[in-house]
Amino acid sequence: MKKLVEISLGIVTSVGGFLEVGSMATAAQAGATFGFRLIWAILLGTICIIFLVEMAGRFASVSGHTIVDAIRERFGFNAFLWPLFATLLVNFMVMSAEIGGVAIAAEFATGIGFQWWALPVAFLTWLLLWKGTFGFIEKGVAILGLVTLCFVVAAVMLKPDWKAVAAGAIPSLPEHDGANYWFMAVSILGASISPYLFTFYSSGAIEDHWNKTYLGTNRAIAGLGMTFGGTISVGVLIVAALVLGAHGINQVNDYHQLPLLLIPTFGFWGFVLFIASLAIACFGAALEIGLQQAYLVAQGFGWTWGEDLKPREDPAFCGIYTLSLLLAAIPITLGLDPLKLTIFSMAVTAASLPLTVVPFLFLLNDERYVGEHRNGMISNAAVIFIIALGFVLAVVTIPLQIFGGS
Amino acid sequence: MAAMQLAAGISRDKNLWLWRSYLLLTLLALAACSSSEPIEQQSKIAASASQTAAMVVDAWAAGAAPSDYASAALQSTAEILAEARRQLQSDNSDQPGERRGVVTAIGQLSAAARRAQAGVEAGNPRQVGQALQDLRTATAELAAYTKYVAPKS
Amino acid sequence: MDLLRDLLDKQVVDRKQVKIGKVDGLVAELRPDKPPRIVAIELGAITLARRLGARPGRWMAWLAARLGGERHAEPHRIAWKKVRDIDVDIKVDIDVRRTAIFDWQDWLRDHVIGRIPGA
Repeated sequence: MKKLVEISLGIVTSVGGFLEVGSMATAAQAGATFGFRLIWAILLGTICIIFLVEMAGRFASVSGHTIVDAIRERFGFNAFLWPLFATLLVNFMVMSAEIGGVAIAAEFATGIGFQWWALPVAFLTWLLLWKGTFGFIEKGVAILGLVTLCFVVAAVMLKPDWKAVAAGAIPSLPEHDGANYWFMAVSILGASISPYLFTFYSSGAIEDHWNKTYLGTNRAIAGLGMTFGGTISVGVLIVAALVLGAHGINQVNDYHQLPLLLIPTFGFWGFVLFIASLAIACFGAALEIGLQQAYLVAQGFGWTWGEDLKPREDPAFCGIYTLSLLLAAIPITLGLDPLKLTIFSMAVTAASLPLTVVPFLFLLNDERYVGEHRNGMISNAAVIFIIALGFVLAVVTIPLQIFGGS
Repeated sequence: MAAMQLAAGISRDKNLWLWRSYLLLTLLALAACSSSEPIEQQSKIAASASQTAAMVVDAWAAGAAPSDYASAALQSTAEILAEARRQLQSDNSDQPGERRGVVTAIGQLSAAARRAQAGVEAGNPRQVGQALQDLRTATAELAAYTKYVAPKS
Repeated sequence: MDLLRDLLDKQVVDRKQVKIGKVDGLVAELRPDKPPRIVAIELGAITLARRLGARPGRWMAWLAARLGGERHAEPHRIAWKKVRDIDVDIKVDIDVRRTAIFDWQDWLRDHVIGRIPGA
């Protein structure tokens, strides 16, 4: 019974982690421009993240190491610096985008420009990390995050042509805007396969004292939780296709277009629900990424870490999330467009994937860490596939976006 | 005691070349280029922006969107349209007739979005309704010209 | 035991299970006609910088001496005989509060973190 509660809580938590400004924005763009045709990218991203999250949880449960900790130990300090800096940078951009997401929700709600909200949002995030415990943050984000289910409800109420939806689950070549199509596919994959998600998950497993008895729980949470999150993303895409696309709005390049998503279905409540979903999803992600930055550095250098400790007991750990939140608020305060930042950082995330995923191939096959619970053929194939995917898509499409004139 | 540092250089051979070559490849790829047709692209952006403005106005009129939001969204849309127009004016190539038509239509769209914004701010549904009419007319014009300029798609 | 594989970069905890850092370097004694012997483990920024190269090592040593005084001009060393157990973590029989390893964290606590309400 306790395990069942844990599983359901874990599933809800993964939704909080999965759905953030990146998946919402990329799914909305893809739906508006290409209808249902990019659903396959969300499915593919979801399958990839299921594998990675399951491995991160299994690794932490069996070895007692977090992923970051083990990368340093297994590959040495000099090699560790590459994924460290890549992840710090990507996390900085994504966190900035999340703060921007909450800030535009606040702008929609109050009419006061989003720049003015960046610092208050960063402060509120910091306050929760400062005062809260891991369980409180995890569960709070999880339960509030359920509001994002309104996208699935809206998608069903719009009565999509389910045959067309199913057809979108199969990859197809675009008829028009090839460069844009592939760039969006990359952004969706980047939004689904966020490195902070699986590194955070492995730290969470250690914080929650997981051991080998949690392997089944881990598998259930990874599989069901990420599927749940992916379903909501597909919901956003369907709504975007049927609302924006059907109204001739094929280019989503302005964040002001986003609240229109739910208005035709729910009227004024749609506007409110959109604001709530955006604010909660992004706020939860900002919390998790703030913690993740601190985990990353503290685990990499072997300092005391843990969200349940008082700030006095791990001053360096708290110092890092304080500084990261402050820095991440700066671009938004200076007026950088949150939507553009989001799309760009999702593509950069995809490009950084090989750096963070290659270590999985070594760690999950190293018997000194995982013993008999090492990767099977399928998991290894999945890791290699993700590395190749991140590499090929990023290298091919980022230049298209930068030089293609968006 | 003959103590010695062993640490330096130890991890040199731990797959460092892998990270390095990846970075290099990414940078090389960034140097590659692609092209796009500006007029087609700008017309698409303009068409999408005009539909956005219409949808915002409809939502506002139905009481589903607050005035603050509607006004900010319309202002932003007007700016996007003005920018698209500026982009088209600045690069001069052939097809002057249809191109001028597209530029004029986008200009009208931008102005209509501004009027709609003013109407929303004044709480004047009549003015907003009038602006919506202008938006629709200019959208149709833009669509007609775009057909000439960009026959494909 | 493969020293580099099984020791270097592992987590070090002190007598009270406080995470004090990683094994950033190893100090070996060269003995004539006998294999070298590990005499100490090293922790801290200077050791890490030396792993990147001789020049970063000198810069970091200079910086550490400037910021922390003579006490910090050399890397922190823990004698090998203090190592008690090598498992997921390496347990050493010292009390981190009696060393200079956490001087900078103490400074951070006393001057920054501790001054924020709620710490």
